[in-house]
Amino acid sequence: MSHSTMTADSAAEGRGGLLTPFNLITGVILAGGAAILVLRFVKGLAATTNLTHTNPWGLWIGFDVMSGVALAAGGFVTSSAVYLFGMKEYKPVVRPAILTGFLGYFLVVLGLLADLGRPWRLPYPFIKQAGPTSPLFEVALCVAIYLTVLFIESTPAALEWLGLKWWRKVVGSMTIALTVLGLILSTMHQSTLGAMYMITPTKLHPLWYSAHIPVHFFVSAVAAGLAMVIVEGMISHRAFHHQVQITDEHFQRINIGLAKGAAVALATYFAVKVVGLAMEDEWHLLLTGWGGWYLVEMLGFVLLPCLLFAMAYRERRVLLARLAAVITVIGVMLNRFNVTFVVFNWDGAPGERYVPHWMEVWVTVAFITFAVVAFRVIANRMPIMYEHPDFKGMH
Amino acid sequence: MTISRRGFIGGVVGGAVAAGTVDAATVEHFDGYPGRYGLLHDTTLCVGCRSCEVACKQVNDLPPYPGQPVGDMSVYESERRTTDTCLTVVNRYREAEGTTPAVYRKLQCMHCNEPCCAAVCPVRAFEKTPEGPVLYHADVCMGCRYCVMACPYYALAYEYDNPITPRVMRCTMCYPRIKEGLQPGCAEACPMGAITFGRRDELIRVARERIRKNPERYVDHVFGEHEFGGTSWLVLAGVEFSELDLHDGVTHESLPAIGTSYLSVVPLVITIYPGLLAGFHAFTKRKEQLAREEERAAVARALEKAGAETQQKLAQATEKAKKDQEKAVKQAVAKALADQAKGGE
Amino acid sequence: MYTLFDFLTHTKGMTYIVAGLLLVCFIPFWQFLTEREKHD
Repeated sequence: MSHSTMTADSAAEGRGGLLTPFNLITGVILAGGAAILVLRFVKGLAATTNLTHTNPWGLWIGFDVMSGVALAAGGFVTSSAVYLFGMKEYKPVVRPAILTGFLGYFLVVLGLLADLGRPWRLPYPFIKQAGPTSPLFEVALCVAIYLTVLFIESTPAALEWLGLKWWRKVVGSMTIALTVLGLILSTMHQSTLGAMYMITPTKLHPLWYSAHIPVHFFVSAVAAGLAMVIVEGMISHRAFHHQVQITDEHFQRINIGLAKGAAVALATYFAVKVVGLAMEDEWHLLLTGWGGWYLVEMLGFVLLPCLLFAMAYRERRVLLARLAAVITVIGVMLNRFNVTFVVFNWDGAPGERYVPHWMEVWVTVAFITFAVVAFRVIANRMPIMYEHPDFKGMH
Repeated sequence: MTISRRGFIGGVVGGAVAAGTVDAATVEHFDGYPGRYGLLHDTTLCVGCRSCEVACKQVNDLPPYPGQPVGDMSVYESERRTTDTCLTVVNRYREAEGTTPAVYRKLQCMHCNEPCCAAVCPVRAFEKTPEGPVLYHADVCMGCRYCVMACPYYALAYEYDNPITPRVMRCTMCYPRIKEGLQPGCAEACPMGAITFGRRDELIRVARERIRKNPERYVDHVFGEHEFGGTSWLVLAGVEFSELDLHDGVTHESLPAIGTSYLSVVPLVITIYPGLLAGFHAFTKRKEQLAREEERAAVARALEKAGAETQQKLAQATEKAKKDQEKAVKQAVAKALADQAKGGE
Repeated sequence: MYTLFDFLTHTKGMTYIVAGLLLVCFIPFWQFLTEREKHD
């Protein structure tokens, strides 16, 4: 992410006019992204991607769709924790997590609009002809509804900012129902993104392919969501420190608590994967080249952060939790990349391996930049990082 | 259909058990449309002339193969695959050695009995026709390319060069020609008889007959009869099918059955989560309420205890004050009497 | 119903609609169930 430019100074937006370093850099990235997308629609996907007939899904699916959805999971995890399981001490991170979730899913839709051959036909499964046998149909339906849910869950901040008390109360009364719906939808589409690969047992290496891929994707999404809340908090807490009302001590406690959850989620994920090895008798595969890559993913990016999170919780070390969170986020991205185009077609596929085109990378970075800029614009105006004085104590 | 569902199931379960394949989704086994067409590709007869490729391009109005024209055998030095302008290609899998001829195979869409492309398409752009061919409808396609990603035979290609109207490109089994009573272009063009068009069940009989008559020529297996639920293209070979880039020894269960089975969890989540989560929420609220009541009770007890202690202290103080007062009164009286006695002397 | 694809298209389509309706019906059911709690 381009967070290196997001210092505490730049949070005081508007002070230095429009030509701040942050604005200039993000402006270049966004302009470049727009130009590439124009080229994509003038010359076709061949001009701006390295997609092939053998590898029809690349970075835009692997990151924007697969990783994007997993990393946006913080929204449903924190809102469920606070509103369904009564863990009230995490309330301060729910709004930033919901906003991150909404922007994340918006990013997913943007990625799809760039990647689809005919993106104006995106609503077709619902308005023209449905293909209910397809896991992708279910993902599309869930993501569409969940984006709406996230949008509604993001409106309280806007309504408070606008002073619309009655509307704010109406939306507030829907919180529990929306949270329940959000958890239902998230469970379904997080796991179904994994289920999309169940039809390709010949193309996905057996160490990654499993009858339980949907469970793998869901549990890793929970871990990814918790890790992203820590990572996002690490940046926004500093960037918006002047707005934050909770004590540093409270914020520390939140991070340590999230670390505990992440440790358990990663441990569960690790256990499910190990059980998978036993069920399919795949131990011998660990000694192969691809097995080595699998061990890198599982030991370096699942087991390691799991233990680091556990240590961070035991010894109340927030910095250690943050390190573990960064490793987890990279690990989930690595897993999604592996499944989408690294380990996919691992053997016997015609043609060359897929490597992302630099334009694909630029567009992806531009989409992330857009989400960061949007978060900043919203958090600088609306009560995301603090409680509005007129609405204190409300849901 | 006039057969009752129970009778139907009873009949096909018996058939399914006999055939050794039971559907993952239900207990039913689906036999597909009766009398549908297929093609038999006898690779032992193929000489790699690529007449089929030429015919396919003519029928589908596609540009000629870039570079190596038909007759130029250098095209076989690398393995090709179908593309958006080449709906079928022939590959060489074994070079000629002495008197042993080279081994070729023609690749194209296999028109599976249970096609993956149809199962994964979110807009149902694919259709398995009663005649056998699997058709693609570009008028609903969004271009998600899930079909391209899922096809186990790498048969589908996409028009990445087309910015506004890109389509999935694949063999159509010359559906319009079949409807007119003609053969697919490749079957008609093959000079060696390596491609035979006919009813699928007939072709399986023909294939088995060829194996029976020439057991040294063929591997004793008709590929495509059952693999992943079976295909419309059946293949005979004189070498192991794995050498022809065909997955040998795979399950007879169709990939769509495997790939869509998980979706049955979706309605379970929708129907079970509301009650379950409402239960968690109620449980949490109850815990909070109990905690609040306990706190209230503790405060009341504390107040009561404090009240009782205060009462006691008050009583003691009152007692003491009374006693002190009595004592003071007694002392005053004694003093007064003493003073009086003193004054009287 | 000659193919599994035909069968799944029919049944899964039906299931989406039925499950969706049931989910929507849960809300009035829940309100009916917990009406008294609002008064207490």
